[in-house]
Amino acid sequence: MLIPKFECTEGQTIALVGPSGCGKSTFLNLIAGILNPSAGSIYIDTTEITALSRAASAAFRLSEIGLIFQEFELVEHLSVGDNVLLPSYLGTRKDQTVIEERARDLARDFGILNYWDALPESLSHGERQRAAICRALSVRPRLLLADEPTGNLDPVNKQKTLELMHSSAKEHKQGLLVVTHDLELVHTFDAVIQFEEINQHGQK
Amino acid sequence: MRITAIAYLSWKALRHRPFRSLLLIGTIALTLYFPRALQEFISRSEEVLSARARSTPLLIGPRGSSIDLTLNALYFTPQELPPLDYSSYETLAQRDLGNTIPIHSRFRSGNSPIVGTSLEYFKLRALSIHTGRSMTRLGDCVIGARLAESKGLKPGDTITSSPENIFDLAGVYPLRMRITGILAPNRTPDDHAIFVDLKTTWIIEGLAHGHQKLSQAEIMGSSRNSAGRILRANASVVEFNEVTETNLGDFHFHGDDGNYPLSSVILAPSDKKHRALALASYQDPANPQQIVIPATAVEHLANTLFATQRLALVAFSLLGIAALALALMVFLLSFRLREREMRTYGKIGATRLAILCLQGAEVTIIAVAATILAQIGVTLTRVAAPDLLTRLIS
Repeated sequence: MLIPKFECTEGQTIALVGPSGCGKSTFLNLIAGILNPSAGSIYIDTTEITALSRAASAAFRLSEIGLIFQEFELVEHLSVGDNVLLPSYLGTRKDQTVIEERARDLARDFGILNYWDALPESLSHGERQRAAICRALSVRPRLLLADEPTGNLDPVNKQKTLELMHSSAKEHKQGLLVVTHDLELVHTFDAVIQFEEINQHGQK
Repeated sequence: MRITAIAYLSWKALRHRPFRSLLLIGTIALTLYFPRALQEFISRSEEVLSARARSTPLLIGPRGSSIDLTLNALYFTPQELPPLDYSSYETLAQRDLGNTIPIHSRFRSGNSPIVGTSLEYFKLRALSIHTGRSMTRLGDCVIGARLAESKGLKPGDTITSSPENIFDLAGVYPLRMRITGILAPNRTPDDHAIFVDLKTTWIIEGLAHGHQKLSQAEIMGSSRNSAGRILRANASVVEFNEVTETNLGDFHFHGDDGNYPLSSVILAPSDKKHRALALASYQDPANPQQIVIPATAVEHLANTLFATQRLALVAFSLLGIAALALALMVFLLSFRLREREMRTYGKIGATRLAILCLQGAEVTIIAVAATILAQIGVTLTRVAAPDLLTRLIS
């Protein structure tokens, strides 16, 4: 994979599309600092995350990047509330009390506050994904990265999930980068990029 | 990552799989408990045995195992040695070497030993009556506090001796004894015993008995011989199985009381000189009796116990290592099964150290819980050791 240039500005929403196996998820992992590129640099705001140590990169991700996955990745033995507050438990540098208040507000807005003490297994797929989005947004990150967030959802929940991510991105000026196969939903994004286009040639 | 958050997340993970967590806690607790409990039990038992042995200056009994004699006199274990003649006790008492206390502990009532002795025994062991009064006549008994508590007995109730062989028609018949007092608890074998006068044990033995007066006209079948001097009784004569105020006078002893049996005699010498004299007078190997210093006999027993303990500890240690290795394997397998969860923590932003802390905290919580449980068990074992020892020995 070679990405000569890629940029996502404050509050911009980008849909990244492309066939399976072309490297979209790897690209997201590189941006998140989960993987390290063999060469080059990735900046989020003024922070060069590729220059950070593994621990510093994890700490940066915990506070500044919200990750949303296709399989929700909720911890099965933690309640919905604990899952939403997971970044707070894991030691984000942001104010714990503010996060907790915000998490409850988000859960209320997303319609999952009633399930705050329930285990994820008792929730529908749509509710689980909403809980996962709450978790990602609870620290109010600068960048939201979502890997096939609607892949396991029915059409109604797909629409709702994307709406929630879009509104958060616009309201809090967060960059939103979503990897998706679902071409029906990409019209809502500010930009739609074919991954094959930026791979080798970079973003135009 | 805050330590409270680590503890909270680990606790949630453990609580989600309660069976696995409890099984691990139980396994580790038992692994820690057994060797320590064995050490505590043997150490406490040694203390208790030694204390009771030290309060029993000298013991005279038939020749044979000094440990058997000591345990019979101190813990009322079933009598393994042949009996001692009452005349031996009388001879010893006449020598005026010190205080002599007879012990006859052949019989039982259920699991409780019936101890025939004199009132001097109560002084030696500093036993006091908590409820009721001391025994005053044949057939009276004073019982230990734990026995009274377990059987719900009180003064005025009765307790019956157990027949030695229920199929032996000519054997010893059970004697119903009147409880006159309950001893204050003292956490020794005395708490489980039934104390009677020596003569009462001879009634149980069949050496003394009471029955209807043969001279009574209504006893059918009694007959005089041709000379009219000897009265011959038959089976219709009622033999008393309980001593009462009414029939007390009808109880009588047969044979030479010098031949009546005893288990042993406790001798509390009046001074060092009399102690030396007492020890010297039983040195002859031809003497059918022996003198035992209970403290020495218990020391030998303790040495045997400690040797056994060392063997047991080696076995427990090997089993413990195997159990801990299994527990470690359970943890490792469990973490492998939860790899996805750990990966999620990592993706969200947990450092590798934080993930290790979470895993370590789970192991620590289990280990601490198991240690606390084992420590409670060890403490309870230490507290229960004297009673347990009495039960095991008796």
